[in-house]
Amino acid sequence: MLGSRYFNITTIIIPLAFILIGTAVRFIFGNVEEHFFLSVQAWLMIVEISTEYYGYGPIYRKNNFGMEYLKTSVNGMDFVKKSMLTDSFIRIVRTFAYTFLPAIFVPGSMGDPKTLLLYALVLANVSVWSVTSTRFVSMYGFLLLVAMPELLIGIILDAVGMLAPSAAYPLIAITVLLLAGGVVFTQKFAEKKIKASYSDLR
Amino acid sequence: MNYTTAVKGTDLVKEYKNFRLDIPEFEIPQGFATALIGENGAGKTTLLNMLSGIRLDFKGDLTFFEKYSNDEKERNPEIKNRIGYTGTGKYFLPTWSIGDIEGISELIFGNFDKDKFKQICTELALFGDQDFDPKKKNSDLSDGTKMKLMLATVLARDTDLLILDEPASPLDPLMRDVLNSKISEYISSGEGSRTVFFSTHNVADMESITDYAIIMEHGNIVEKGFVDDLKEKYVLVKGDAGDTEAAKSILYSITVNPYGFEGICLAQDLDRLAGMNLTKETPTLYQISVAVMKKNTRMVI
Repeated sequence: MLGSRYFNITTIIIPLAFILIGTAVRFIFGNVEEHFFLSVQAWLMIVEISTEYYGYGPIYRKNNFGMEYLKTSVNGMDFVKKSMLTDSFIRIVRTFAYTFLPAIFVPGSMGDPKTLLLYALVLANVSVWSVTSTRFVSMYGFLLLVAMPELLIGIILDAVGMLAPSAAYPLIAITVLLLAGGVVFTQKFAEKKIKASYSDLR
Repeated sequence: MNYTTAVKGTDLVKEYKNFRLDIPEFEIPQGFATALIGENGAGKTTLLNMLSGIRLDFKGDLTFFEKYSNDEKERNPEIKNRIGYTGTGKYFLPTWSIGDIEGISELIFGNFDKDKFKQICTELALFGDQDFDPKKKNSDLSDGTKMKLMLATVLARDTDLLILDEPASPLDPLMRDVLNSKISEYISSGEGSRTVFFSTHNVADMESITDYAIIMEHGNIVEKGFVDDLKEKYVLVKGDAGDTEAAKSILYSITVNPYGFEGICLAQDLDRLAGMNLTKETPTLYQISVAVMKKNTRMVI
């Protein structure tokens, strides 16, 4: 659905680059969760939001490109729905890969696994929830602007996790629920938009 | 003439804020090429979107291939896959490459022939002198080449009805001629079972393959019929300058110059032009269309 360029950049090149860099950093500095990782996390969130630039584009906007052809087939819109659900799961897998694989590749470099898990969940949440707003815009600059709320919430959650380590378990629980909710909400929202695209009447 | 219908519509209504499409009766005869003609904003694309399933928010009944309702068509891939549609611009995702389009078409249509697609792309010179290039991006193509690509995707499928929204608009004159050939080939290969329904502003270029014409204005059908019948219904008359004022109230459309006038009138109104020095000719579909549109337009001409 999204073309090979989207897949190559967002699912192969960028994750591979982060995993390699992360592995190298851990190899040199060991456990970097509390220092290096938090500062990189914000950047990773921006990268995750930005991947949508190569993705579906403004697919939630009325009369969007690409829907007409798919609507000429009975299976077209099901194809879009499945593609979007798959995209949500790929985002989760990708964000966990950035976070955990370098620590796994460099034995002994992982600090508290709870902290890493929290980072991974926050990043996955930002990636999954942001599409609800980014899929209305086509210009890159606006993409980041509309996803600011998700970005801010992600940074706050990370900061709380760092400042209050005892809150790790409740935060993990919250982010797991948010992530599950995010996958369901973005899928339902997408299906609502797809259904609305068959109508001109307000 | 007795014929079966590829599509039949009754009481079709769709309303926007400042526009209402209202068609009590509508039909596309099977086995023919039907042109949908009308001014900008007449409702042509709206009607085509309703037939092709791009828009489902309308009232009324549609029957496809003499037996399937619109709901049945939308739910059953065996029926819907018999219909091919090309649109005006917002068709493929810009990020798709030709290879992506080929792959997606194979996934979502059971009757998409990859080899035929490549063959048609080559025949239409989509890639100029180069070989089939699956990496070529849809967004890098010119408007005319995008239309060729759309046509290649629908012609690569085994369909019985093609619904084409202004297929000739972005095409150069040579390609319009090729399009006409493709439409003729498509219909003749079906031996009466294949139909093409297309909207067009290029009436003159498409006239050679048009069997049936529907003319729309403000969401209504104002004229329809087989082209041969329309050419008997209307007459192109040319007269002297002195008769211009008398002819104006009778003719559908009139063009005046210092030497005389030329215009379209109904053949049944020729009696009312008796006494004038007239020459009569068979009008072209273009002339008939313009005359009918002029009669019904809200433009101040």
